[in-house]
Amino acid sequence: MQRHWKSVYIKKHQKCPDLDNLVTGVIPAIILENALSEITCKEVSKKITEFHNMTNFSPNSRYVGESLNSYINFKTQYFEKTKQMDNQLRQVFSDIEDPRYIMRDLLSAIFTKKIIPAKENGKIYSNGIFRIHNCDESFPIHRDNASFEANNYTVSKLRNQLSAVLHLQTAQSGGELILYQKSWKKSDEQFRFPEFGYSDDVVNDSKFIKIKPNVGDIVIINPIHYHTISKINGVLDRISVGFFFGQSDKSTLLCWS
Amino acid sequence: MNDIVWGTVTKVIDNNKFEMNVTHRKDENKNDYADNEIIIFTEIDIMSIPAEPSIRTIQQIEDAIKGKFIKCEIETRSNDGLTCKVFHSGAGGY
Repeated sequence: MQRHWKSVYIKKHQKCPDLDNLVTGVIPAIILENALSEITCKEVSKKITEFHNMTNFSPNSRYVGESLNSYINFKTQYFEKTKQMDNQLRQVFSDIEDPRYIMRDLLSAIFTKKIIPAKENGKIYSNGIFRIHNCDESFPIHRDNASFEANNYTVSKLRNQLSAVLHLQTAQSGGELILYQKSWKKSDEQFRFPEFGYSDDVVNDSKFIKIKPNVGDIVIINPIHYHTISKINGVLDRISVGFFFGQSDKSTLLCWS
Repeated sequence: MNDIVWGTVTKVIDNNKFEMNVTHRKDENKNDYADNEIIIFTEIDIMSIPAEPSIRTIQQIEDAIKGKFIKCEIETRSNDGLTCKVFHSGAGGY
C-alpha cells in the first residue's frame, strides 16, 4: 500500500511515462489537463444533449453509445447496435470532430503508442459512451473488469484495462470521482448488488481520493480500483465521454466501451 | 412468480449441478433459503455454456460461472437441491 497515492497531472502533448504505474496501482490516476477547450466541450455537450433528447432512448437512459456490459449474453446485438449508433453519431458530429477520436489521438501522443478500436471477427467495438448524469441519480460503488465480467468478448484477453473519461460539463457541485485504494478480488462478489455494483461494505475503511471533474480534463484510471461518483447537486447535468483501453502488445492499445 | 435468489457459485459439482453461496433473496419469496444451497439447473442462460446439455462439460461450466454472481429462478426443491433456471445477473461495473 502506498503512503502517498497521488495523481499525475500532465499537459497536452507532454509524454507520460506512468502508464505502468497506473496499471500496477502505484498511482491512482493520470490527468491530462485542458485536453479540450471549454468552448469545444460546451459545443459537444449541446450536441449530445440534443441528440439524447430527440432520440427514442428508454425513459431512464442516461447514456448515448453502447457499453458491452449491457450485452454480456447478447454479443450479436452489441455489435449491431454499436454499428447503428456509430452511424447516428457520425451525423451528430458531422461538423465537428467526434471527441472520442480526439481523445484517442491525445492518448496515443502522451503514451507514445498506437491506439485503435478493438475488433472481433471483423466487427468493431463501440468507440466510447457519453454519460449524462443528474441530481436524481445514485451511483453504487463498482469496478470495471472485462476479463472477469465479459469473458466471452476478446477484449477480456487484453493484458490490462484502463479507463479514460473526458469531462464535458460539470454539475454545479458534487459529481467528483471517488477512487478507492482497493482493487477488486474474486471473493468480493459476495458484496454484489443484483442489478449493479457493490455494497459499501466492499470498501470498508479503505483509503480513497477525490478527483474534481474539471471541464476539458481527461481522467485516466485503472478501473479495477473501486470507484463511484459523489452526489450531484444543482440543475446542471454531469456530462462525460469515455472508453476503456488495454494493451494488446507493447506498442498498441485497443479501446472499447 | 417463482422465488428468486442471487449469489456466487462456489463449486461446480456436475455438468448440471453446482454449489452456491446465497447472498440475496427476493423480498416476495414464499420459501426460505439457506446461505449455501445446491443448485440443479434445467436451463442456463450464460453465453459461453452450450445450450445443448449433452455437450456441456464441467470445465466449461467452471470457466463460465465459478466465482460469478448469478440469479436463480427456483422451480422446485428436492433432497438433492434446488431445481432452477440460471441467469447471468446485473453487472459489477461497466
